[in-house]
Amino acid sequence: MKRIVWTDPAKNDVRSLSKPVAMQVLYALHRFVESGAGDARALEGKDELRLRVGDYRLVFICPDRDTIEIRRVRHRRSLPMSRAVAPIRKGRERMGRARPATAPQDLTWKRKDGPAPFRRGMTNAELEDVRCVNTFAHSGTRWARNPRVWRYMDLLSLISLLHRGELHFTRLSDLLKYDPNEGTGAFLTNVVNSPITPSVISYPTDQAQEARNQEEIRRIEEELCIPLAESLPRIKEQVGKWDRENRNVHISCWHTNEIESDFMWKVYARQEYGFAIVSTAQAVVKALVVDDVSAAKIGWGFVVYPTRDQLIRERLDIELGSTAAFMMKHLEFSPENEFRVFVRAKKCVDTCEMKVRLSDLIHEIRLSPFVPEWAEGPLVQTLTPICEQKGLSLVRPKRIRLRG
Amino acid sequence: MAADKQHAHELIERLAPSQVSAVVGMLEAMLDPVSRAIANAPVDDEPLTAEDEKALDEAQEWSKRNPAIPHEQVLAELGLTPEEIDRSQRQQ
Repeated sequence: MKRIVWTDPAKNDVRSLSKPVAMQVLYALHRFVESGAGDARALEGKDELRLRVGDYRLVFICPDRDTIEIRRVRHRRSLPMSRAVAPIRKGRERMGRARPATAPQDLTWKRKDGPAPFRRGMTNAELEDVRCVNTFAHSGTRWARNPRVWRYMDLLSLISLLHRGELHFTRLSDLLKYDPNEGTGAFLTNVVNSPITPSVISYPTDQAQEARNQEEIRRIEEELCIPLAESLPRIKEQVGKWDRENRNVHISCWHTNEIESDFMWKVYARQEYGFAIVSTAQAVVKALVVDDVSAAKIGWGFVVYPTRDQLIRERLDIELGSTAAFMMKHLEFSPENEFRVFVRAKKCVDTCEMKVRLSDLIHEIRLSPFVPEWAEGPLVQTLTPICEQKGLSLVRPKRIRLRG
Repeated sequence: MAADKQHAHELIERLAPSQVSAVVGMLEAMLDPVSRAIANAPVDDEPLTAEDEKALDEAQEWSKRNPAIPHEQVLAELGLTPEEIDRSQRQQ
């Protein structure tokens, strides 16, 4: 922690304050020195900075790496009533020294050795139009209910999201490390509903409907009799076509669940230092539709995990076109219960970041219950100022133990 | 500990350039949040008055000629302790 020292004028300034005000100023100073929290502003053209504490301005300087020297404690009433900020900004612009008056939204990791390391998010001009996907009727119902969705991530991804205000979309081909059959429309699903039931049943029995049911069941059973090996050439041809069509698809994957998932913490949040962003399906999409990106460029839907007879019956691959490739997955992935948001880039790009309104997107940030207790404090201490600045809520894990 | 550090080095070696800068920033933040707050401080939009300038010059001149006063001494002169300050604000 940095050492605090004072100048005599600053000491006299603080002594002239009433005790409650002095306590408030000193508390803000302690808090800033301990955690960096507080509204600190740089004085242009000077080495000093000002820490705003209510109506008071604590002017300080860092004479060396480990010291903060308090130069003055001033009341803001010494400022002119007509602050004339705009003319000053214009003057700075004329002198080529324009900087935003407030820059929290522009908070990035500053590097002195080159340009900003990150590219900007994708824009309308770089994206094709896509459509949302209503994979099953119940998916539409889920959209209407606006279910809670979770994005499990590690610390680096969280810091990156908070500072850049951009959500990372993973290229479809990069998802193969999690599922080698990603993007193949669940074609290798071999689980069959037993017994096969028709998709529409009427009561009292309608003879015409019953005939259609029997025809549907016969057709499904007939197709199920074809050994998978015999279907492989056709399937491979279809998958190859999808791979070409979906080469530039980038996806953001979210887990649909009302409660947090032990399974997801362990698989997707690197367990010990994981975080989860809590949002809702609609909030994710709305937060992405920012100035440079229109709703027509953002596709979304709930992933379907069909059984094999559902695949044959629903013909989703035909109905959905190439979107079926990544919106249908093998049943073994059904615990992921995914909600996916996707975009199609016009050109092949390595990485896709979409600008996002963090306050709309993030309803909560949860800390993994697997974070060691010794690490919880430093993590919270590091993240709290960032979260406070962005107006976000950070939730610690509940550590209630019924044994020991 | 040594194995952990070795592992950390290996992980950093495997990161993409854009991730390295994120890690560097994160480590700096974890090690010294105050330095980060200072480095990222936006420019104050409240202009300095002539009175402010004069007050700062006065403090600067004093600082050149005198050793700085320790924080503990200032608190002692005010009849305060760090614990008292923290406790009073938390109670509000």
